[in-house]
Amino acid sequence: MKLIYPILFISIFLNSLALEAQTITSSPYSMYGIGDIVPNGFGQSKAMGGAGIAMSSNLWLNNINPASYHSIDSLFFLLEAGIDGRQSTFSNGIQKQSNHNINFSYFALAFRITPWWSNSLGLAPFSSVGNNINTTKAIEGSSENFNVNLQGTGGINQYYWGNSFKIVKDLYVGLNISYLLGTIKQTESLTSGYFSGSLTTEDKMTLNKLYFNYGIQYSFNINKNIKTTLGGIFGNKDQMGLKHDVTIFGNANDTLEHNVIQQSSFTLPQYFGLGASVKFGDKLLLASDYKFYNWSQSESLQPNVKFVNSTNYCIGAEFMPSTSFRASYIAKMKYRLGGYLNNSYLMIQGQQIRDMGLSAGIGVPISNKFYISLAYQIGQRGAVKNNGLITEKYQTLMFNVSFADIWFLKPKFD
Amino acid sequence: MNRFWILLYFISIFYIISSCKKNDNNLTVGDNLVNVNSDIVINDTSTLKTYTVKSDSIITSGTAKLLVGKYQDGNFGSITATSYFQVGVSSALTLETNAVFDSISLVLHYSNYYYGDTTRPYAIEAHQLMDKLDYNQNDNGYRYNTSKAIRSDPTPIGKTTFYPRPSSNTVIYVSLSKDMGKNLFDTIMERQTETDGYDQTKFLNYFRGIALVPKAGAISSIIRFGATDSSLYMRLYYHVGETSKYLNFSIFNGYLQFNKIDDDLSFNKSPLDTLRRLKDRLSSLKSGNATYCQGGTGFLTKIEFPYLKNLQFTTEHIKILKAQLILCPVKSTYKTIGLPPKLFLYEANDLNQIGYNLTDTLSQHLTVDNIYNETTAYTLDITSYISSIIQDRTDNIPAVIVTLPNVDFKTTLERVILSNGLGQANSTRLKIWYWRY
Repeated sequence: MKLIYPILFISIFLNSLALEAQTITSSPYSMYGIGDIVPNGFGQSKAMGGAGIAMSSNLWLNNINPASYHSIDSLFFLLEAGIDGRQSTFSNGIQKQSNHNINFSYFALAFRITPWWSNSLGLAPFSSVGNNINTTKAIEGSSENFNVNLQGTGGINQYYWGNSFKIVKDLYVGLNISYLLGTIKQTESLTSGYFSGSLTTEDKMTLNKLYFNYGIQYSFNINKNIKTTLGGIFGNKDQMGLKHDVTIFGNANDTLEHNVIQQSSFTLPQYFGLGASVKFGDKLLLASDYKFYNWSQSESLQPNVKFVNSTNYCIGAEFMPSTSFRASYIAKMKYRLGGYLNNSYLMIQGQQIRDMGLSAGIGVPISNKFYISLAYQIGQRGAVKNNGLITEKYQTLMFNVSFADIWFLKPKFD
Repeated sequence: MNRFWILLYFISIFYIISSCKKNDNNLTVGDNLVNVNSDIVINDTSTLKTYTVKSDSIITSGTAKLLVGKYQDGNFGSITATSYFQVGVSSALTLETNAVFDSISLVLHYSNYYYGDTTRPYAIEAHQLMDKLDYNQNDNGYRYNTSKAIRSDPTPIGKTTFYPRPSSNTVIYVSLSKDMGKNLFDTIMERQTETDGYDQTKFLNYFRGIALVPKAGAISSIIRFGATDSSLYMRLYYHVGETSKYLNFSIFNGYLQFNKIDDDLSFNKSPLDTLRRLKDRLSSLKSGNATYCQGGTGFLTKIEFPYLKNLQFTTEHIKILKAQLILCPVKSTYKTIGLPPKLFLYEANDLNQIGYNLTDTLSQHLTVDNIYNETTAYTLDITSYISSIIQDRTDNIPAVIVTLPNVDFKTTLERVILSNGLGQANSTRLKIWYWRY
C-alpha cells in the first residue's frame, strides 16, 4: 500500500518544525537587512553553479523558475529533501576564525494535476542570520572605548506552492505563491570596565508575508538532438513589515523595558532573471543564468551599509556518459560542474561585496525510484584588502535524496 | 516496503544530523562595519550650583568633650569656644578631723584634637559659675553652640598658659584659688556632721560649676579635652599627718556640660556673616567661588543639580551606570588646618533641611595631592541617588548638603572649603556614566 506517503508527509511536517529553529549561516555578512538571502535551487542546480532558470527535469525539482514543473510525468510523484553542510573561514586580516554548520535544508514534493497544470509544494530557507561579532565603540565624552558583542540568530523560511501552466505547446508560465515566515533575533551586549555585568538590547523581529513571483519557459528544437530552452523569472518590489519586540536588560539582569515597537519595513526588490540552456540528447546539458535585483530602491536601516543593485551570473554543465541500460553504473551517473559570480546588494565602506565560486557534483541513481545527489561548492565572499572588510572562504556540501514513484495509476477499464 | 524503510531511514538521518553546529566565534571587527545602536556616555559638565548655609544650632551638650580656646583666620573669622560644666560627688563628703588643706586643682586630659596653631602659647581661665546649670532651662533637654553664656564670677579661680600637645597623654593641672579651696575645705569640715552629711545637693548649692574660657586677647588654638569621670575633675588635696590624700569632684550630670561656640565674622567683613537662619544661603558666586563647611560653627555646603532632570527629557531611554560627586577643596585652604577624613551627604530640600542620609550607602575616598595641590578631592559614589533623581518626575530641584559625620560636627571644628570654579580644572563636579539605548 501507499502507506509511505502519509508517513512521509508526517515526517516532513515534523522536520519543518525543526527548520524553524535552524541557523544555516554563521557569517558576519548575515547581520544586515533580513540576513543572508539564500539562493533558490536544489541539488542539481547547486552543482551547476546555481543555474536553473531555463532548466526543467522530470526527476529533480527546481524552485528557481516556477514554470519548470512542466516536465513531471502525469503518473509520477516526486519528493526531494536535502541536507546542507557549510564550513567557513573568516579573516579580517589579523585574526582567523572558522565555523561549520549542518542543516536540514529543504524538502519539496511535486505532481501533475491536469495535463496543463503541475505543481510543487515545498519548504526552503528564504534568509538566514548567524553572526557573533565583537567590536568596540567610543565612549562619548572620553577617549576610551566600551566593548560590544553583536549576536544574531534565526531566519525566514518560505512555504511555497509553485504552479506551472501550459499556454501552448512548449510555452509555459509559472506562478509561485509563498508564505514568508520567520523570526530573527539580534542581541547587542555592552561591557566595560566602568560597570559589572553587561547591558543588553534584544530585538526579536518577526515577519509573515505572502509573496508572489513568476516565471516563463519556452523550448524549441534546433534539430533532432539539440533542444534549447529559454527562461525568465520575475518578481515585483514588495514592502514587508517587520514587527519588533524589543527587550532591554540592565546589568543586574533586570528587565528595564519591554516593548513592542511599531513595524519597521523592509523592501524586497523588484528583480528579473534570464536563462538559457542547451540539451544535447540525454548526454549533455549546458545552462547559464543572469539575474538582476533592483535593491537600490530599498533602504537599509543601518547607516554603515548601503543597498545597491545586485547582479548574478552563473554557468553550469551536466554530463551523463551513457544512457544505455547495459552501461556500467559509473557511466549512468550524472556529472555536474559550474561556476558563479554574485555582486551582492550589500555595499559596505563603499565596497560592493563580491561572492564567487565553483561547484561540482554527481547524481547517483540508486534504483528506479531513488537518486542521490551530492553537490560541492567552494567560494569566497568579501575581501580584506578593501578597507578592513572580512574575507569569507567557504565550502558547502549538499546532499539530497530524490524519490520518484508512480503514484497515479490509470483506472483499468472493466 | 523495502524502499519505504530506506526512505524513512534517510529522513531520520537528516533529522538527527540537522542539529549539528559548531561555532567558535567572536570575530572582532572595526566599528565602521557594524552598527551599534546604543551608546555609553560620560558627562561631567553638568552645572552645579553651590551655596553655603548655616545650621540653626548644633547640640553641644552631653558630648563628653570640652572645647576651649580661640582662633581666627580669614576664612572662618574669629572663633571662641567656652565650656560649661558641673562638678560633683556621688556620695556625702567626709574629711578626717585632723585633715589639713593643701591645694585644689582642676585636672584636664587631652582628647586628641585641636583647631589652630599649637606653636603659640595657649592661655585659659577657669571661672566659678554664679547661675546654676539648670536642666529645666535646657531647650528640649539640650544646649547648643549658640546657647546663652552662663553668668560666672569675673574673677577667675584659676588660670594657666602652656604649649598644648593634644595627641599626648600629658595631664594638665590647673591650680585653682587657694582661698576658694580653703573655703570649700572648711565648709566640708563644718557641715559633714549634718543630717545626710555634706552631700551633692548641698555641694552644688555652694559650687555651681565651672566655665573654662580662653584668656581675653589670647588667640592661639582651640583644644579639645575629655569630659568624663576619669578625664575631668576638680581635686582637693589635703594631708592627714604624713599621708597625702585628696577628694575628687568629677564632672557631674554630663548632659548639662556644653560648649558655646561664637563665630565673629565681622572683623574681615566675611560674606558668611549674612547667614542668620537655616533658610538663608550664600551662593558660591558671592563668596569667591567657594563654599564653606565647618563643625562647631555650623557651616554647611549645599549643592543643587538644577539641570540634571533634563537628561530624562533629552534622551528617552537612559540608565545611570555610575555617578560620582567630586568635591574639591580650594587649593590653599588646607595647609595649616588639615582636611576632615570623611564627609557626610544628606538629601536636602529648598529650606535647607536635611533628610535621608545618603552616606550609608555610598563609598567615598579622599585623595590628597601632596605635590601640586591640584588634584586633591573627595570622591563620593552617588550612583543610586542619581538614578532615583533621573526617574523622579516632580519639579523639585534635587539638592544635597555636605557636612561632617555627626560626632565630628558636634565636637570638632573640622572644616573644608570647597571650590566651585564653574568649569575650572579642579572644581566640584558631578561625573555621570550612563547608557543611552
